[in-house]
Amino acid sequence: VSRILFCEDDPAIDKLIRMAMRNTTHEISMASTGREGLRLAKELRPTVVFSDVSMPDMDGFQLAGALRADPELAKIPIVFITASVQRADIEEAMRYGAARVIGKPFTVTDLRALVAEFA
Amino acid sequence: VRVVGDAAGAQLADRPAVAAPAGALEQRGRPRVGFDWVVRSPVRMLVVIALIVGVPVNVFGQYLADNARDDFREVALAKVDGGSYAGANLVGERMSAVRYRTEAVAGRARVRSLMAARDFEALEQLLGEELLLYSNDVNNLFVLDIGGHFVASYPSQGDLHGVDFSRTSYYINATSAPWHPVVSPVEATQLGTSGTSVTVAVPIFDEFAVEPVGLLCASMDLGRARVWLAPITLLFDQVYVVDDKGRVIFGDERVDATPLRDLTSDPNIAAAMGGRPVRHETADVYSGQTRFLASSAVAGLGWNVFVGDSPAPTTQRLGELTDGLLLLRLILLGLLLVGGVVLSRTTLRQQALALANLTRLNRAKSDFVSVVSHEFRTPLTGIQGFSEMIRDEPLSQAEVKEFANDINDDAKRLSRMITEMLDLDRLESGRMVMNREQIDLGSLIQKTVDHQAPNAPKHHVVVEIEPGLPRVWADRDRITQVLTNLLSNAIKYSPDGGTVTVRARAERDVAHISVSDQGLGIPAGSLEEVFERYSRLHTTKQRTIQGTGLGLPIVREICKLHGGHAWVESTVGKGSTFHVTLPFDLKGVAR
Repeated sequence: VSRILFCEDDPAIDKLIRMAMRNTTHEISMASTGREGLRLAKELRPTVVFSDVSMPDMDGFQLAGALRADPELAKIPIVFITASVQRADIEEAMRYGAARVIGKPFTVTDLRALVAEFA
Repeated sequence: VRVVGDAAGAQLADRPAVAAPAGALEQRGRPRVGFDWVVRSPVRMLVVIALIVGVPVNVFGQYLADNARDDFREVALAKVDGGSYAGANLVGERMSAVRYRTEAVAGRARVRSLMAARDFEALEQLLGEELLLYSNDVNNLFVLDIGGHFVASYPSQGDLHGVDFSRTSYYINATSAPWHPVVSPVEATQLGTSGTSVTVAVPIFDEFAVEPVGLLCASMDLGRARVWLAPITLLFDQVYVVDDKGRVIFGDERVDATPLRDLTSDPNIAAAMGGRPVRHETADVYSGQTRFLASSAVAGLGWNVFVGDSPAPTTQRLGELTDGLLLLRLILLGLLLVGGVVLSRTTLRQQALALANLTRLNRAKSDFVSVVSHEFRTPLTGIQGFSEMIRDEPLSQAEVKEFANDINDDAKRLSRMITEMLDLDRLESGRMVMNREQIDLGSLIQKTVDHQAPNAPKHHVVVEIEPGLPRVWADRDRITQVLTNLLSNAIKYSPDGGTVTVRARAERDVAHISVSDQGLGIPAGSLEEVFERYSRLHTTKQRTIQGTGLGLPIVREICKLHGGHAWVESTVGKGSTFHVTLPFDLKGVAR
């Protein structure tokens, strides 16, 4: 069983992810800000982190940086879920060490496939 | 590393092609010779202007100058020509007058009878009386007998009596049969004091006017003849008379007074003697300087009157004219220079400005497209994801209903975003049509509050309207929009409930509406930011609150269009108060 941490600030998407993941065997955790995501990551040591980029107080890139800075968390792959899907945005995400980037709107099928890949 | 998912891949591919117009604005390829190419460089501009305007102006200026020079020359020549003609007439008339007068004296019976009686004493007395009737032109009247002997004169010259004058040219000429009046050649004078003289000799006939009995001679001092020309000497630089032998016989005092100076070597004088009157610009025979010179023949005498005028005044005027033209040309060139540079610079500046504007617009459009696409993706994710699950998964009726509700919420959110976006665009561009009317704010506020109440089960909404609040001149729908946005914000951003207070009161010439909540509040640094598009604040608690990010910008724009203001006061954790003012009177505001 893998632990998967989602960081997503929009309630509608938050709910969509919960609903899409409600039948998996994995342990799903939801954070609504980057800071909360970092706290949960330290606490739970997730297998993979899925993070929104545009979030209050700490954005997805800062979260990725914080994870990379912590030797114990540095190895956790991070997947960005972002509405900014221009090439420059994708390239920036890659520079922050993203394992994958998934653009909004995404399909539930894609999300599940990605979770299966990392979990 | 790869980008996951069709959607993401597709979105990568559909990057907005907004960069293309910017590229199109740039100068590309080889420069084309045209208006733009010319105005882009002040130097090119000047060259073109000089070619188009300067050359014709210069050519025309040259043409004018040449024309003026010709005209001046023509006028100067006409003047000396007229002068010489007048001079010839004056000389001819005076000479004729002397001849006719002398003929009249010679024809007198008393002269004949005194000659016959050889009473020369009486004859001299008679000559004296006659001389008085001459003008000053004649200074001596004398009589020769038929053999050419001097018999009488006045003034009397006794020592000459009996002297033989038969060898004089006038005696020889006048007595060649038949006897006739003659004018002697001009000769150095023995009489009088001036240089030259001429004698008019007229035969005296017997009472039958057949046989000559003597010769009456009038001797003229030509030194006095210069007075004849007085009417024209003042007008010209030179006036002189040349006889049939090419000698100067008299002239104004400015001419070399050497008596009978032979000028036959001068081509002008030779031409005039040859019957070809002079009328041209030539070297002066005296000074060698250039003169406008003209000659006219004196009828019957073979003399020529020459009139010369220095071209100096003409040249000076021509010079002034040419200088003036040159100055004009320089001024014109200067104007063209300045104009060219200014025009070129203005055009360049306008082009730069237009380019900057287009670039700014293009960037704004690009930003807008990216913001909008970003904002739309969030509700679309819900719609796409929930509908996908309804389609693909076995769900309970309750779940289907719930997901459908989520889809519906997101669709409404999307719809609201589009509506507000368009509203804001119309407000900002001034295309929003305002239907103003007298509005009772109190009842409008109450209505809006009643409408919003079902959305705020946890809130206590208080309405405080100042009694007697005047009506405002405003668009009902837009003011409703302002009140709805402020009220729904107050409710949304106080998720734990509390009191929401809506106040309206008169403040000098505006209605002041405020909406207060006891909610999350806004940090001091963001009080202006909240009125900007898509600037929704992200704080921990607010994250669950949905909004389009356009509500407050719309509020501010509507207030602005009504001549009012919108602002906010807030304390984080205690709540916010949004203020709106609307003028009662719209003086000075576009209706």
